[in-house]
Amino acid sequence: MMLNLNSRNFIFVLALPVFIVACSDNGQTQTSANTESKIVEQVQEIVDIQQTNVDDLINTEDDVHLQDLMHQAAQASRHAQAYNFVWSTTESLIEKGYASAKEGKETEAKYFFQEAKMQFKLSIKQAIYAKQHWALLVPEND
Amino acid sequence: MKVKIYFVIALLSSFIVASSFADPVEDNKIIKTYFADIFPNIVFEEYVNGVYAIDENSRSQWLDIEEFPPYEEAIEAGEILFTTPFKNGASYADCFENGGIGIKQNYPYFDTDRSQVITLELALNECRQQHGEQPLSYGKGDIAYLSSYMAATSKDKLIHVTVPNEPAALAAYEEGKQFFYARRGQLNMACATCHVSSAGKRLRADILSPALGQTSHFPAYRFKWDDVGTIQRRYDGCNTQIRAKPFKLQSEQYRNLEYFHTHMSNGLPINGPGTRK
Amino acid sequence: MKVKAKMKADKVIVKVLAKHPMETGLRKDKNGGDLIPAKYIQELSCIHKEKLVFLAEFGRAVSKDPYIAFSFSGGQSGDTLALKWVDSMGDSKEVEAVIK
Repeated sequence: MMLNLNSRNFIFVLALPVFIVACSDNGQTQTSANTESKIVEQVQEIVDIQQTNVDDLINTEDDVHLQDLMHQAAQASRHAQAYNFVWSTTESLIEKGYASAKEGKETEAKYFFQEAKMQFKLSIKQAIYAKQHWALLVPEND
Repeated sequence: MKVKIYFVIALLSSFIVASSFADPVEDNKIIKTYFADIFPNIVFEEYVNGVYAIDENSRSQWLDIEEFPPYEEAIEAGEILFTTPFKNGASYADCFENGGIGIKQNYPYFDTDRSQVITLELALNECRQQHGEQPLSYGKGDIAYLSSYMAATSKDKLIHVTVPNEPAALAAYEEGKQFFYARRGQLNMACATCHVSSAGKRLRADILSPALGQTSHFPAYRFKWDDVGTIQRRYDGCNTQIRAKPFKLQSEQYRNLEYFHTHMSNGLPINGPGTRK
Repeated sequence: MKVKAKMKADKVIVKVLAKHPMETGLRKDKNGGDLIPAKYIQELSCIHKEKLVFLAEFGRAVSKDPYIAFSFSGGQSGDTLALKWVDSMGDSKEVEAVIK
């Protein structure tokens, strides 16, 4: 009757679904086109961040201008907001930085902006990690 | 005839592929098994009582408190708000099926036309706006009292959140699931860190409740708030506690989270408003 | 004040929820400046058939809306209880309850 499969055909037929499953997505559905393109846009900057030692994020030279740090912190803030993993501790650091700058306490102000920059960038790293590894906490079928 | 066999096998293999995408029903089975392993002595329906199902001492204190339920005034206020007509003569009952009575177990739901999750609180405000009223602010106050009243009318009805088998709904569910399991904030913790991985263990003086059954008793009266509050008010608080910047109440993130989170408790009875610390 | 009283064997079980802010007098107001004046229950009593069956003397450490449960013997279903609290500012409240 019809069950006339020779062994070669049989192996192919068994391999087919396994091959399809292996090539399929592991369960992540499509996010909206908007979010994806935003992330794609900023991938190059992220590559820079991932390859940077965290220490390098904090400028230790004394001749870094406070104004530059303010701009960098604002830029880091804009990038971080797009990833939606911003910490609650960071924005108040920016405020403290401006307050210290107003009082003329330059070193203190620089510290606050550097710290804020680092926190924003760490939150971006956190967002990328979450996108890749969120499933680690999901219980599995034993 | 050979073709017939190949066709059947190809069909079966397509089922295997389909099942590797978001599967809310399967997720529920897995989480139920997971918690049953940790809490072998808790009956499924008891999960709606959270910590009071786990800890004897907490339970007896809670039963004493329930002699004079702290949420009673909220339900009464909610009933008055719900039954008072709008300026144009219509009322909340006109916006909901069954006049808004005994329907909370169906929320949140996915609106396929607008491609978004609709929570009960969002629906209440949309009802207000349709009838020329100003929207209420979310989280606490009148919106929480209205929701408390609707929860009370839905007492013991089994939670029944549906995720239609279409891409946008599955995506919203999946985004809620990812939010729940993703580590965030300066403390780098996920909702699951406390309420799945460490459920039943202590966080300082408190015992962590399991995620299963967590939404059933919301809006909840919390002693910390000295008032009732919605579940998204608690999302805001929890995110702040792990030092993550909270999202706006009824933002897409929190609505998707509530969608996933409530779906997890499908089959459990509504017992809101409940009393918690 | 909400009261529930019922018989259990030959004892009367009484449960009371006194709605009261129980302000300690040590908290500062929202502007961080002045102390919020103390206002807390100092005495809560229960009288049954002209006899004092329960008296509690509170300090400022009891928190908001105190819940008290106590029992006494010699009461019956249908009897009336008179509960009263008096606070540090001299305000008081009295409520009657019937034993179930």
